[in-house]
Amino acid sequence: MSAPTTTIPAARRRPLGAVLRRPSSAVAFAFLVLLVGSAIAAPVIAPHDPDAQELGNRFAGVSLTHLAGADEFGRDVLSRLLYAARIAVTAPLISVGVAVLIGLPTGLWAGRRRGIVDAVSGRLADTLLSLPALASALAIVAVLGPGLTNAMVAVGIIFSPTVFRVVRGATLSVAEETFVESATAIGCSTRRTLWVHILPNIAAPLLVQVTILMGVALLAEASLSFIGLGVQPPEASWGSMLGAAYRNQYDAPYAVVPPGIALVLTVLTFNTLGDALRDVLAGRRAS
Amino acid sequence: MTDAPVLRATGLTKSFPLRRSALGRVVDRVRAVDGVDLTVTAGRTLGIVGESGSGKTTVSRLVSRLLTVDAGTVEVDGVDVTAARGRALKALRASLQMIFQDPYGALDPTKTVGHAVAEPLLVHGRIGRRELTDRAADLLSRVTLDPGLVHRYPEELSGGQRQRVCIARALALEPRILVADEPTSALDLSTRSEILNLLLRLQKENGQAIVLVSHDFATVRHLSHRIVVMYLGRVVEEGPAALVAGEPLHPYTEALLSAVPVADPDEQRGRKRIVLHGDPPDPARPPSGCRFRTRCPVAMDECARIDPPLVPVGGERSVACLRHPGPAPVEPAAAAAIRVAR
Repeated sequence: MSAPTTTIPAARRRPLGAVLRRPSSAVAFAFLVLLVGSAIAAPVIAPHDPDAQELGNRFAGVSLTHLAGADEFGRDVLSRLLYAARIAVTAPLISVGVAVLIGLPTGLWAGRRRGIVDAVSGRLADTLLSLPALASALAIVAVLGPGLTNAMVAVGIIFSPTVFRVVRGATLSVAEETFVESATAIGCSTRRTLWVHILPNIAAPLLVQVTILMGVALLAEASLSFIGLGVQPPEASWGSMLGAAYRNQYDAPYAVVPPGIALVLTVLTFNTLGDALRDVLAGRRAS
Repeated sequence: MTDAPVLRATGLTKSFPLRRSALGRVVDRVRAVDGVDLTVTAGRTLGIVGESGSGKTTVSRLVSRLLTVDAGTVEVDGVDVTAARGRALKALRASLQMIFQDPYGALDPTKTVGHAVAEPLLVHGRIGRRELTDRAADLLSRVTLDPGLVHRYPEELSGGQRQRVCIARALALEPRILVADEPTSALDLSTRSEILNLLLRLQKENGQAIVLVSHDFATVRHLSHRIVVMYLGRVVEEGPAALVAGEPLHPYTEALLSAVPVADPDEQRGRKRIVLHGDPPDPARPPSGCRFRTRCPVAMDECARIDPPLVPVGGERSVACLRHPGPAPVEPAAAAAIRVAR
């Protein structure tokens, strides 16, 4: 009786604190802060204009003026990496935002209402999930036209059934709880029951899913930008930088390294945080 | 106290699907509640007793409109609320509140005690968000809880404290009827009496009608003015608490009462305990005739053919047993013909 009342509340109300007590996720969180910080401060800390070309400096190696070298137009790679961090932060936010906007209300509704609403939306989600993700993103971009926002909205639509499923499953189990019946008994509307009583109780699995999807969305952004459907030149994203490096691999084989490392570290960060959140929140729900 | 019924239910029937075909059509169903009538008067307590599976919990959900009836009507203050929707249903919620069996699951773990207690007032637009804490503290003191608990979370509370919070939440709207479904069965013994005494005190202060659902005859006997005994979805005996508990007529009531221990060890040792053999029959396939006959110690041959109706036997009580045919007995042959035809 006393054990759960003393240990569980801490994790319940401060999941972030519990996550940060693990060394691996503390490092991941620090990197995330660094990433967001440099994305915001890019204009201040970038040594050069990311789009300024110095054709005499093409494929310049690492030097004091160009700490990470220069690319095929002689642009400073470090500055471009820093500016691309803005896209690494905003692009996944767009995708995950769209996915949550679609998947959360439908998942809540389907999980609470069951019956025909559930059956129809469930089949729809299954249909979307059965399509290969990147291929459907390509198709959506083909309709909406290339560009970062369109690409990320497309990725968000592809992600929405994943969010739907997580939300629906969690809602199904929470809806069985007596406090939901109690909410009905005092006269809460279905909408109030969903947003005030069910949503906070499914926040844990939703948060985990969102964190992991951030990493996947970043990879999707990189893939689409790599093939030229994401960011449009001269804007830089890690994916488009990788694409340029790939096209110039005979002139500058090392050019894949800076954007590659940035990408890998960021995706790992999201995954590490997602895993840690899941462990911490799973432990607390066990009561 | 007037004798006008605040809650009257007639012919309540509810069945649940057991199996569905591949196409989702229900192929097998169980009648959890089969033609139950209830009347509750203001300021009085109606106890519903029965084993698990007798349908008593379903009845409590039906009268409080948490489940929809298949057949029958529910009237609150003479108004038919069986099909109430929207605003009418919300008005019903304000006059009929429920206390649940499990105080651990009945409170939203993400909400403070204060929110839990004052939320009904918020939902019904009786207070603004700013008054929430004050009103919650008020309500908590009515159930003898420390008003300082408003900012705590349910998991920091004991079972008894949580049930008090649930009671305060149910009282917030000042309902005319409280439906309590096994309000003490999840609590330990010392807390039980506290909660029951609290309910009694609140009833005296506010004059609520209480429907108390329990499998524990001792609890029901002490708190109720009238008692309804249910078996397999039917009412088998109904009457004033003292009579039903003092001189039970139905053999099932007798068996339930003989299972309640007496405080005097000598008397307890000398008592004749009626042990019911076997489990209650599958409610999806009740036995022919009287539903209790398979476990009845005094069953007769007729019991297999005749399904005894609930008939008044005088003294404001009714019983459904062939051994107690009531003041104006129907010709056995005619009754048999009617019942067999069903």
